[in-house]
Amino acid sequence: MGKIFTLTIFFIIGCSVYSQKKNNPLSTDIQLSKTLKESNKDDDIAIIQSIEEISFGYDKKNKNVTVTQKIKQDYINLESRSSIPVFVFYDDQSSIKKIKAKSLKGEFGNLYFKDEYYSNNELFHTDARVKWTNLNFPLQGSKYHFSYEKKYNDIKYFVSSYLDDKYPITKRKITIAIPDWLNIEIKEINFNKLSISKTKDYDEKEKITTYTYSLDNIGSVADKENTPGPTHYRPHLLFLAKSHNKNEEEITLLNNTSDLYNWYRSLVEQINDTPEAFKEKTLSLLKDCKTDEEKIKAIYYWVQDNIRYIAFEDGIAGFKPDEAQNVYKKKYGDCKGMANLTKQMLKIAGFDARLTWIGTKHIAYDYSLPTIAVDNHMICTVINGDKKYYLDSTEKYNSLDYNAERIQNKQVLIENGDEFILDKIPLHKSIENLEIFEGNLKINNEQLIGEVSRKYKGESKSHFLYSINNLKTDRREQVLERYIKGDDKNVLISNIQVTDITDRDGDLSLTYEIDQKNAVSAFDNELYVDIDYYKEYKSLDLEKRKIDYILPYKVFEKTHIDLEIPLGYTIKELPTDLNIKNNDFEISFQYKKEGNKIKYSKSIHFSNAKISKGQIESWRSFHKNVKEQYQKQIILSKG
Amino acid sequence: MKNKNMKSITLFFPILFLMSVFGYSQPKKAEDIREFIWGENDTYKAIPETPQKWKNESAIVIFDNQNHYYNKSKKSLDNFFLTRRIIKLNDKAAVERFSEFNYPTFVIDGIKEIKTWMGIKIIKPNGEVKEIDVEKEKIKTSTDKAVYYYGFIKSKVKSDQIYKLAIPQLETGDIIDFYIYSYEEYKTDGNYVMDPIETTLNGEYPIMDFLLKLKVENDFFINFNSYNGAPNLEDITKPKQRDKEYQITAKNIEKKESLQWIYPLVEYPAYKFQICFAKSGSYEKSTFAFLSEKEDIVKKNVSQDEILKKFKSPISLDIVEKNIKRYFKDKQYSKEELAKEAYYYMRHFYFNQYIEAAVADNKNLVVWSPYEHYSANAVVITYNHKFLSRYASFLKKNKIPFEIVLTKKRYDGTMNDLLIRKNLEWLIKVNTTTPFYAFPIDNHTMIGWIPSLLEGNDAYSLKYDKKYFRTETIEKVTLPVSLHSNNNSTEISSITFSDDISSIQVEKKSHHKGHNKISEINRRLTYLDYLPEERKKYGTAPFIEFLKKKARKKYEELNNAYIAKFTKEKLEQLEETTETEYGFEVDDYKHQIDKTSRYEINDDFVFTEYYSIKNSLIKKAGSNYIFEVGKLIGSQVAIEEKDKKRAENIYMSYPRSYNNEIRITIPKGYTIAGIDKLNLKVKNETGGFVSEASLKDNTLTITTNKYYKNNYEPNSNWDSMLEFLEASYQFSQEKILLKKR
Repeated sequence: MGKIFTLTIFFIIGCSVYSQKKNNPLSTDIQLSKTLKESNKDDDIAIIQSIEEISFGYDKKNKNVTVTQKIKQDYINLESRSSIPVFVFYDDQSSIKKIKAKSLKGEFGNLYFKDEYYSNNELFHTDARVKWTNLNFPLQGSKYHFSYEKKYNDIKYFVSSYLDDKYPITKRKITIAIPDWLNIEIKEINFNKLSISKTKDYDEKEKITTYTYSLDNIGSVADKENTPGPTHYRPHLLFLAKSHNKNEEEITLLNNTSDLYNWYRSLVEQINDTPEAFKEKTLSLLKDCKTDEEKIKAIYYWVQDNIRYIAFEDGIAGFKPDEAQNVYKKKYGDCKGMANLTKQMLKIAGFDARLTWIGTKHIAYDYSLPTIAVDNHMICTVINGDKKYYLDSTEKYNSLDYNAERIQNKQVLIENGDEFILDKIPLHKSIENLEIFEGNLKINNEQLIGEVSRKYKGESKSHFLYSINNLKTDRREQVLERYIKGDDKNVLISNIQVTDITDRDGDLSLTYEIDQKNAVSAFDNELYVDIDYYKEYKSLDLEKRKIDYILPYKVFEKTHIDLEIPLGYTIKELPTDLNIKNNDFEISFQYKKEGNKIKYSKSIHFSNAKISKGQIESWRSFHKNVKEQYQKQIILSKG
Repeated sequence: MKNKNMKSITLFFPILFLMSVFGYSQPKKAEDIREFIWGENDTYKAIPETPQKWKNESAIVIFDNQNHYYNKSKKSLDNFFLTRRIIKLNDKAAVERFSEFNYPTFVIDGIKEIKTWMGIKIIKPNGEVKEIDVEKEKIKTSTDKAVYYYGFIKSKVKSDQIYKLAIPQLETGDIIDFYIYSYEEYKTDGNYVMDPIETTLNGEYPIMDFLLKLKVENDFFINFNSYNGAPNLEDITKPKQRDKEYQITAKNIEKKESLQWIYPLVEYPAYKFQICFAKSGSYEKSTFAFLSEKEDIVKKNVSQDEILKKFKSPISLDIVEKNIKRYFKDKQYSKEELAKEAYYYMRHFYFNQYIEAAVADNKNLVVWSPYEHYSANAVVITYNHKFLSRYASFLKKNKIPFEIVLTKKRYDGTMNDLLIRKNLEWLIKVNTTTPFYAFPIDNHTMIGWIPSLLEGNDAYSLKYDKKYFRTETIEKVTLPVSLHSNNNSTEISSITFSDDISSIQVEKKSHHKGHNKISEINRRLTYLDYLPEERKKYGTAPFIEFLKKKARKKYEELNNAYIAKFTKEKLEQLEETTETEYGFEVDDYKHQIDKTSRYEINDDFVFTEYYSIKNSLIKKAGSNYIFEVGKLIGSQVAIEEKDKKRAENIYMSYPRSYNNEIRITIPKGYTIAGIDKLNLKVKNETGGFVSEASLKDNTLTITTNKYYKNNYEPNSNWDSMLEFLEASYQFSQEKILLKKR
């Protein structure tokens, strides 16, 4: 007892003396911090050293190849004072050991890591957990050391390692020690212009080949909205574990697409679907259907409308679809459950329907890479004669003849017994999403009044329907009004008419009457008209953008406004036309006089649903003109 | 016939069963709870039709039932709360809303334990009933065991489990019938005051049938009252029933949506209640509540006499600290000056002088026990009554007459409706030649300032005997309401254009007083702005001076880093404030405090802002420019068409006024047109908006004055209010033309 007591006292005193004395950053660290800030103006923290050691083991009991990833990182503060969270995720297939964070001078001791259930707005439930803590840097140049070991119980779940980070890194090193018994391929992705050195060493004694990747001065990950998925642009290593012969016998892991398919299939074979549970319902849906297409639609739309999407990512449930009768009964499911129910219902209707794996647009890979990182979604494919229908029941208000942007042009892996079919989802053109705004306006005092008609197709329509259908019925009128005018008190809307908001096949149209105050300014004998109400993309300046800007879909909007010239007035000045056209976007503003009308036409067209990195500069300079254009007024003068 | 007999038998049996199991205790097992709620006695076995008039509502609450049962055991209170709702889901939004539930179960060892059970049934439009297997469907999402510190004891471990539930089988048109039943155990010796419940009868959805039941054992006291036409509590205790039982029922309740300028508890039917547990006489006295004479009497209000009786000696009047005596020892002040100076001295001595120590502590500026450098118990003054006691003691010692004033916040109703003790607000009225009120201190509280939420409310004034031994008389008074002219903000802006008319430079000097000042000071002043002047005034030492050489060096370094970051963030925050007020972006923002003004409520707090406006307010029109000059007075209240019809009275924060003077230098080579539209004038009994524009040489000067005369307007004045609100909104939309010569 006595001893422990003395020790404790000593420890406390020791600590305090230590901390009083030594927690100042060294002058070299302060200098380093200043230099780093010069080249990373937007960053508050940098990683001066990031070392990752990847090694492999074998779990005899479960006969699995295991992976250990050791991470050591040293952080430095570039600001006068900062605080950042550091966190590590793990789940049922992985564990974290030896997690440690302490300031480099040790004055605060080892920090306590919280261990929490990871909650995410998009996922209802996941087995993911997070260990996290805050690093508080009291001074410029203060440093922290952060390290941990993450172990994957099965190499299948270990897929990649990124070379960059949320913070800029001065020195980055990754070593991968591959034992002779393991056949693993390392893919180097998005290495483009980075100067990365790679060495290979063989340890005869241990029979281990070690690959070392090193690089210096990597900028922080551009953490912005509307980014492509990280696999599209961030440098990383993708690990493809093909086979091993740990026990003298060659065991295949995921050597090729067939192996991946076989594993997925083995999971699907474990499902015990009992379609009887929803047979009656399915047949009742088909009752009035005459053609095959009508039948497919009836089922597809029913699942879209009646099964709520609730995502679960829980261990193997992250890969194995839920049984169709469960999804039917619960009226909710994740993409796999919904795809499976769609398939089973279609089978009742006599169709050849199949589960289909797909990596959405978020993922850059295709099925040439045998890894679980290649896909993140499941849909259902119907093969009807020569025609394939791809049904994504999670896409609410999507019509049968349209595939959502996020799955267009993506490779699919379709079940086909022992084999599989690889195919590609067709690409839709932007014209299929056309949104039209037509206004017939005239000037009354200083107000713009008239009728507006708007039409929506494709994804502009499904986006509109989704937002309207999820609003409280008693507020729908108000909500449509809000959709039209926001909270602008100057605009009065009346007589709103909208076509059937449950119909996803026809075009959607919305008409209303508008009375917009303060849109016209009268000075002396002149009227100044601000013709464009919405001024789309006015604020999208992409000022610091470094990577592609992704739009939700291929936006194509056309605006036509006819403005009646009031009696006794003539046009004094019309704004000049403005146009731009390149591979990603085509935008035009046109003003014409026809009879007693001014015809204003605007067309905004993003044919690839993005502004790619190469066009950012062009967007920036054009955007300046757009901003000016939106400020320009039509001038009418009396007499 | 056979069937009928069967029914009566099955009914008879469960009643006996219920009596035996639940007669004196509430169920604590899932299956018993289920039986208790959905068993044979359930009056909602058959669900009634919903009324036609609500067919377009998103959802209709068919039955809203809340039961509270308060029991005691040897060392704890075992309380049970039931919420049961039967809701018809008319649209997808409603289905979404009720498709996921979260509910907690947690334990704080030795303090509190809560367990929760849920039951859910779905009734399909065809009448088919599906019960959800909650135990099977629920997902536990526990966090790890967090360690809670109680003083130096680390052994109290809180375990905490949140259950998540995605409701299966739910579709539009369904009726969901769910209950959340929780058991709460509180450890207590002899008394415990439950959190009060103060709510309106109306909710987000219309309600067909509302039932609230309270059941208590002896030693539980009920304070309950209904307001604004809400039904009264009925005693439904049966003869010979051991526990007392009460209920409140209401039918056919329309929904209420959120609205600007409303105090729901004062305007809509509402009820409030609080349950207290107090064992015997002595515990009853020490319970922080107004208890009725006996447990079986429900307390509905608190009379003037009771207040006087309860607060015979409401605060201790003999605490005058040495430091305070020493500070005032040789000062020559009149009684009024002394009372005022003492208030400000205490504000510094008990509160503001600790700020640097608090910053050092909270921001880890590595200083061991920063508070040890001050007299030990001083910081506890953050409790209101401790201040009142010290201030009143000082007044008493210096023979300055005063009284204690008790009131409530305006949103909580008048003193006639007093029910819950913690809703009381305390002030001291100092009866010097010119009497003034003193409210418990905070960083910037001032003599004569009464929080706007108390202004104009009625109050009880407790007057002492001559020796200030006991309170002797009580009187009903009304607290004064400040004038709109005293709650004023005056902003003077100088506007110049860049040579190419692409941007605008603004220099804006703002003067605020009254309540407007209090909110601006809280938003803009940091301790770095006012602490040095306070320290100088009262001769207290900056925190750093308490530290020894080494610690001082360390602290200075860390503190400087903290200040650098803090100042930078503060400036960004102020820039955002200005942007929010205007509704557009500003650039190159600078902010400067000109006068802190923290000693006289009606003195101006003054600051200047400098910024440029680049992408807003100017529109090109040929060779001319349209300048949205109206927007320079900031965003104005915009009442949309649908809100122009109003049935409710209007409850605002306080009477207030806003003045603007905008001086615009017309750019060379331009003239202006359109200034006639800038002259508006609306004045009525509720307030007004007046604007004038004049041009002299190359300067356009615009003045505006907007004022709200009162903090409350009856609904009949709404149209008058709209008149000046519309005028000020219209002004904010006005533009002038910069015309090329």
